[in-house]
Amino acid sequence: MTLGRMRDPRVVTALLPLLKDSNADVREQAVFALARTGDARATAAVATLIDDTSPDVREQAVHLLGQSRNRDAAPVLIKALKDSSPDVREQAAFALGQLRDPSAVDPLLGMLTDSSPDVREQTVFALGQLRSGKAVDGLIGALMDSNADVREQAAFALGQLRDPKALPSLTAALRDSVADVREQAAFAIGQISGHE
Amino acid sequence: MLTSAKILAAGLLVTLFAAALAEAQTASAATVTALGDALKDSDAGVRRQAAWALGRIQSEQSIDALIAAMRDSDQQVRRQAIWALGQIGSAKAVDSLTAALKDGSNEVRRSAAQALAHIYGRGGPNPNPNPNPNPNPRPRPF
Repeated sequence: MTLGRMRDPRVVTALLPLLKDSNADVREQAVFALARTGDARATAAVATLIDDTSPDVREQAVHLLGQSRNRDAAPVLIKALKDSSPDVREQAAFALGQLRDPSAVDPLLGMLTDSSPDVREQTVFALGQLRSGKAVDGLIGALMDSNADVREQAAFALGQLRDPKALPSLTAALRDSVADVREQAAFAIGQISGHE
Repeated sequence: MLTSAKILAAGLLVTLFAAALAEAQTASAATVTALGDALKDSDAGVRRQAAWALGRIQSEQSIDALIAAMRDSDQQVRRQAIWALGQIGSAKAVDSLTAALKDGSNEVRRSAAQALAHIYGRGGPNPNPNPNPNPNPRPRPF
């Protein structure tokens, strides 16, 4: 952990071979340590771990690729949206929101019907981060999600997109059964229709 | 004939464009009414956020509901409602804020004076007491 925070290039050189270690815990810790170094070499090496047999290793790898802010990682992360592990898919959605690459909008819209509420919540947040008008209809739909956390995030994301088309649905959300959703709906309405 | 049809069409386009612009800035009456109802929500966070939204929308239609919210049990809601009335800044809002200068609560009198100073200071500071919510799910690394 301490080593991983150091910016010494020798640390990175020593960590890279551990990405091929036979033990999954070692590989996972090596990815985590590399993420902390912020070294450019780490990004390319870590992309190879997206197909690792261990879901924990894949999740760490996805996290690192998001942290890299390197848009070259977008295709790999879009592929990770199809991962069998919900934790990896959630992490991939978050990472794509961080990268702000417009190519992620359509693949993320496809995730709004994911079976995991955590994945849907993260997807909705990422779509808000991407600031794409293409996401408005999908996010309006997410205001009706069965999960309240997803609905709350959808209201917040719609406030970020500032499309008046969402106002009738957000007005209806002021009557949501969950207070956090109503609060976000009021916030979003003020964001969209207000004056400074 | 053709020319007048063209003028009519152009006029219609201008009207539609103006309507679209107005729509982009103004919430519908139904939305303002719903936000007024939300000022009576059971949850203080919802009431506070509704008052903030009404301060942004600046509709005369919401003044009575905001005056009522100056009596809210939650201090942040009261301050947010006074802020919103200061944002609206119309004669009726000024009347309500002037009346609030005689309120029994120190904090209501002070907020009302602040909002009035904003109105008469032509855009002087009317500090928004509201920290807007910002939910941000963040899957953490291990």
